[in-house]
Amino acid sequence: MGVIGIDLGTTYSATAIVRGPSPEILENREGERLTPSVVVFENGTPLVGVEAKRLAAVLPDDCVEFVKRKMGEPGAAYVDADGKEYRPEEVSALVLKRLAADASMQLGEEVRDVVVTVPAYFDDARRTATKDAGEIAGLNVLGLINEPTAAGIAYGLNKQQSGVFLVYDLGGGTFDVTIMRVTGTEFDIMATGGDRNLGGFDFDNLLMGHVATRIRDQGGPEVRESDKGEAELRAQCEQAKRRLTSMPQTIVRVSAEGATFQVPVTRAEFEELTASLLARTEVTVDEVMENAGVDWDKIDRILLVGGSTRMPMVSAMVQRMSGRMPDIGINPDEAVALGAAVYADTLGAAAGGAIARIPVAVSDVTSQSLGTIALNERNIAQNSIIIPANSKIPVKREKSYYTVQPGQRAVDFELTEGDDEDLRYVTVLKSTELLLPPGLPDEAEIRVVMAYDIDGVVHAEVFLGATGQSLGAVELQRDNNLGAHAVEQMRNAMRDLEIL
Amino acid sequence: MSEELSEKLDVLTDLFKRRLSDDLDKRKLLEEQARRIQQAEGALFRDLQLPLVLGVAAVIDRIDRHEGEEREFALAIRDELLELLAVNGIREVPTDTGFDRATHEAAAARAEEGSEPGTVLEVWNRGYARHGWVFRPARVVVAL
Ligand SMILES: Nc1ncnc2c1ncn2[C@@H]1O[C@H](COP(=O)(O)OP(=O)(O)OP(=O)(O)O)[C@@H](O)[C@H]1O
Ligand SMILES: [Mg+2]
Repeated sequence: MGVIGIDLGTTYSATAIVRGPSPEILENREGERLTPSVVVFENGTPLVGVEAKRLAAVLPDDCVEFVKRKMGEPGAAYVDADGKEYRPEEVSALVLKRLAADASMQLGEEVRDVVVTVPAYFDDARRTATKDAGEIAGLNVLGLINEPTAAGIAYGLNKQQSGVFLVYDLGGGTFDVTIMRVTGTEFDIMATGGDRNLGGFDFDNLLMGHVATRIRDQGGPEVRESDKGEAELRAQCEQAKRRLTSMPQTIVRVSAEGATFQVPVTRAEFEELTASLLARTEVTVDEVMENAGVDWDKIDRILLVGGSTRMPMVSAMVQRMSGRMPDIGINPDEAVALGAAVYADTLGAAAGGAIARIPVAVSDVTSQSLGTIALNERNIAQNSIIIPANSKIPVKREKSYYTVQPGQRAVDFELTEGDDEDLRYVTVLKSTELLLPPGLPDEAEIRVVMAYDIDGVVHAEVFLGATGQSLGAVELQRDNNLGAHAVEQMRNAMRDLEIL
Repeated sequence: MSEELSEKLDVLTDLFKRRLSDDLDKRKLLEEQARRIQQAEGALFRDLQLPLVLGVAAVIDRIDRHEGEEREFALAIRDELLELLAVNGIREVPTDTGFDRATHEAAAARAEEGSEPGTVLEVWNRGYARHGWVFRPARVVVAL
């Protein structure tokens, strides 16, 4: 049975598989290599992908896009006419279900086992939500893999070359930079960083603002006032942006109030308009290089990933920064899916006791520091880091703390995420009271063990130092995630759902 | 005699069945090969011809919009280009049918008196297909 890799993108998704000596993209039922991550509910029936995107302008209120940005957040991503709420996980599940169905159609056999990609800096809640989405879709998620790692695998395959890779990934909704060391088939992330709210979408937004102003200058209305007008403007501007990648100028056409407005835009204008976005990516590149402790002459290859790196200004900037040409050869919007397929093949083979066709060993690093709250020498509560950011995953670390009173019967245990000691800059993931046995002396040792598993999911357990007795395992079930029960229910509800 | 006949019949039936299954296998093989050839051919089209075809389509778009001088001449060139595409197996997708999400993309939607929902009100860009693959949907304005 085929195990596929799925690049579940903010704007576009893709699937790939290893069947021969190299991974290949699986076309969807419309014959496209990329499937828009768009769901339209047409009279209550979900429609996913190419046709959903084509219909979006007609049903803007029933169209759900960019749901990846909402993953791991509470609340609904869509509410239908009857008031039925769809969680981000459910909308993503619809996309995943359709991707798997199309892959099954291509392969002539049912696909159940998948690997799904996530941005490197997705936190635990977002990773869990992504896994849950797969489960809801009725799939068996063998693992998650960070997108830059997957891209590195895809690029590494061609040239069997070891060295330090810098992956610059500017997609539809997210931006990340990752530096990794590649040794043969081993991929070790050295540092990663990014911006969850920076992608092609934001370039579209700036162009939209510009075009909307020009339309008003021409005596037209404020087209963004209605959802419909905004949806149309977005679609027009996104296509114009793509045209500007290959042409020095283009015309954006928008119809409003029965008239059609035409706004000419040059590439130079567009680049000026969006220069600040590009500059933000430059700052991130510098930061990540500093974290990894490398400068440009330590970097062997520069990989551009994500559809937005097709914009000429991106490679120009990277060239200016590095004094070097970035790698070309793999479609920037396919690399992640191809690498995920290789990893899927490795995991699938391991699960079935077989040998992978293209074995890879993946190791990632944590994107956020994990810790707990403890009193310092001056009795001030502060964040005490147990697993620092950029630790190699899987990782298990422990730290000892001490009770503050003789006969203390309980401790407050907090699981924190964040790099700062100052609690104002730290997120408390979980807070719980743990009971202690009676008769403990003052300064009794309490050991906190934290682990980050290969999928980046967090576990914590607290032990009494003297006896090794477990005081409680902290299941990181964050409020923002669904419980196992809800996932099961949604999975059952979706089982017989037909997706067009 | 009847026993002999029935034996012969059995042999013949057996032979027939085997031939039939052989044929089925061969047909499957042929179908699989045809599928692969088609796939390879599709990939070739995508990689080599598609950029050119999309370029030609963009030229046709410009001529469609052209309202200035030499309109007749421009339209004649456009028709020649459309014919060139057709000769090479590229069909324009029909837009006189009402909105069809398999071949059209709603570039915009608006309510229009006297037009039923789903009517194609305007065609902003022609759409094209090759062997049933709509590589560029027609961009249309749809009545709400
Ligand atoms: N030729 C092009 N010129 C400019 N931008 C392009 C081009 N082709 C695609 N894009 C942009 O690339 C983005 C999609 O890229 P990609 O498919 O890599 O993103 P994604 O995987 O959906 O997003 P993410 O990785 O952020 O989750 C869109 O914003 C799209 O407009
Ligand atoms: Mg992506």
